Amino acid sequence: MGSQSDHIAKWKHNRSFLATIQDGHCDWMVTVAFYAAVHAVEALFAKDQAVHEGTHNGRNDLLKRRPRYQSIWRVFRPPFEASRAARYDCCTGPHPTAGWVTAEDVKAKFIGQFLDSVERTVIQLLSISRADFPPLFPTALPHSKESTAGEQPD
Amino acid sequence: MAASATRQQPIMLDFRDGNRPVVVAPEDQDRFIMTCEMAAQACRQAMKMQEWREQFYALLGAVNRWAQSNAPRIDACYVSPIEGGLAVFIVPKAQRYDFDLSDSLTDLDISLAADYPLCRCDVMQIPGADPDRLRTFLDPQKAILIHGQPIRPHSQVEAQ
Repeated sequence: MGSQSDHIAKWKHNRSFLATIQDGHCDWMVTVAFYAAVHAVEALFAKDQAVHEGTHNGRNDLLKRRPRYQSIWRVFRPPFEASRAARYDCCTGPHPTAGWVTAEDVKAKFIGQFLDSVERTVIQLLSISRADFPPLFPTALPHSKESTAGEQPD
Repeated sequence: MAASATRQQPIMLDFRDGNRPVVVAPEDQDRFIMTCEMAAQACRQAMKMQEWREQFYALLGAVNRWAQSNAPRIDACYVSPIEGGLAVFIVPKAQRYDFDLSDSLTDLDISLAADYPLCRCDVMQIPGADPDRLRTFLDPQKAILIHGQPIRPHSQVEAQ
């Protein structure tokens, strides 16, 4: 498990790569978006000293069972399942996901809505600057208060 | 039989007895020896297994109820072992990621985690209209079909 700053650095690293991925690789777009979200929540876990076994199952369990994190789980789960489908699916053809998700879906929903909401909540809970996490695509919603996943008491 | 069993003194297996040997005599007389600690641990594990099994069957019931109430929107629903636990796989009718189903799946996921804590489980929608594509996510031999049509075996697919 890394420190909070280690995870924030990796979160930013993944975001900067995400911004460079072309529509033709939307399977990787959703995967990298998910891993940006992973490091965002791991930064929060590091701050909270919330420990899990270091697997997807362990992380998911912590997010869905602990009231403080359940609102994050609601917006973290869709990129988790979509990225898993993108990684496992071995469909062939010109489109990397055979229409399961499109580049537009990924940019508008998985990044513009779900990742954005995970990030906004984590940024708020970590009390760090939003300026370091600008919107990734023009179609992505600008960070706004309405799109926060919200915090629940522990 | 039951009445005489209740009159018998219980057999005590104490973890503190550590390496004290326990001789186990199964019905087939294939006797084996283990330590008190190992026997006590095996008993605890068996109790947990029983509890897990009860939660697992209750989880299948809950998933079935969800699948029935969402039948117009889903093609199939499976419960399958995956690395580290179980997965509930949902194949949406839409044949693409169904964003309208997402909140309902999250509600199901959170309620399964709360109600059946021994059965670690993730709920996921997957592409599965094409059997070959579905097989990349689950093993039909191991998955339990909760809703929808069974996946045809490879041999039947190839014969067509």
